[in-house]
Amino acid sequence: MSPGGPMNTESNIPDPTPPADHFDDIEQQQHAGLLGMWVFLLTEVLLFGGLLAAFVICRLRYADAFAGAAEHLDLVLAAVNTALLFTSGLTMVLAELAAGARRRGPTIWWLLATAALGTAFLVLKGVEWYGEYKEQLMPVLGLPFVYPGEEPQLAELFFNLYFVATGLHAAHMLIGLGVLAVMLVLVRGWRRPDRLDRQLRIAGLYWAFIDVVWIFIFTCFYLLRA
Amino acid sequence: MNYRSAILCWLALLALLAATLAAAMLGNTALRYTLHLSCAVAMAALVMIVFMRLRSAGQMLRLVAVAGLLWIALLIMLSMADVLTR
Repeated sequence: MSPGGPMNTESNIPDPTPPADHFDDIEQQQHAGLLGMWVFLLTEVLLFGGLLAAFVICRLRYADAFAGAAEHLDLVLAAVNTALLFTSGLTMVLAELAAGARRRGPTIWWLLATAALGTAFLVLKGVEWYGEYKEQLMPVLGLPFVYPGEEPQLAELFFNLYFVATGLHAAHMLIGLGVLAVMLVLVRGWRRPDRLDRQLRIAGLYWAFIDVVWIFIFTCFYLLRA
Repeated sequence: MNYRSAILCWLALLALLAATLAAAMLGNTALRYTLHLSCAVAMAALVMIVFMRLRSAGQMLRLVAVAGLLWIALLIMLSMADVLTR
């Protein structure tokens, strides 16, 4: 008998955690956890959806000005960032699969890789923002906005929407990195692997959702240029 | 979900990213915008079906995902209908 509970003699893995009192069985508990995260992500769709709808309306009404303003964004950096985010989505799934196979080491390494790729995304985003700051294309916090093209007021509207969208996305990345850090600490401890497996599945949903949001930010702001 | 489908999904995502970047060279044409938006929808669908495991999810989770898609589709389409018909 182990301190953490009875042991399965064949695999030396502690028996699964019993379900919480208000659940019939562990499957129902797992399903409730996943459903809860999906419903939370729907509320996030409300948040980003409103922003996206505002962009679509402005893009249709001020097509030329918005297409021209998008030319000033760094498409190469954004494309590299998209690839980084897709790769982090893969490493997160690999961490989930490793946890599902009850392999502690690979779970930790894949989680570390996911956090490193997420951090690299934010660093590149910071480099991109700094470039826009230097070009005086950052109309936030009272900074001067000097636009070299036509219709600077509409370009300022574009850059306002751009900084709100990418800023909100970066905030979600930071929260995602926080979740990954907590999961790393829990996985290092490796108590109740079956529970860690369920928690990682839920954290993975959030991380993948950030990918989905970025796909639309990347397409709308960077690709729909003149 | 297994390692193979995860890696195939990742490769498909990178291929779609390359395709949408290549489409940017098509100039200011309707085809280009159609390709950009189609690639975006395909990439989002891949992430949701494979990475978010909708493929193996139960009916309730699929219903929630479809509800979200329907909501944002209505929001964007009705907003566009308003702007485009003024």
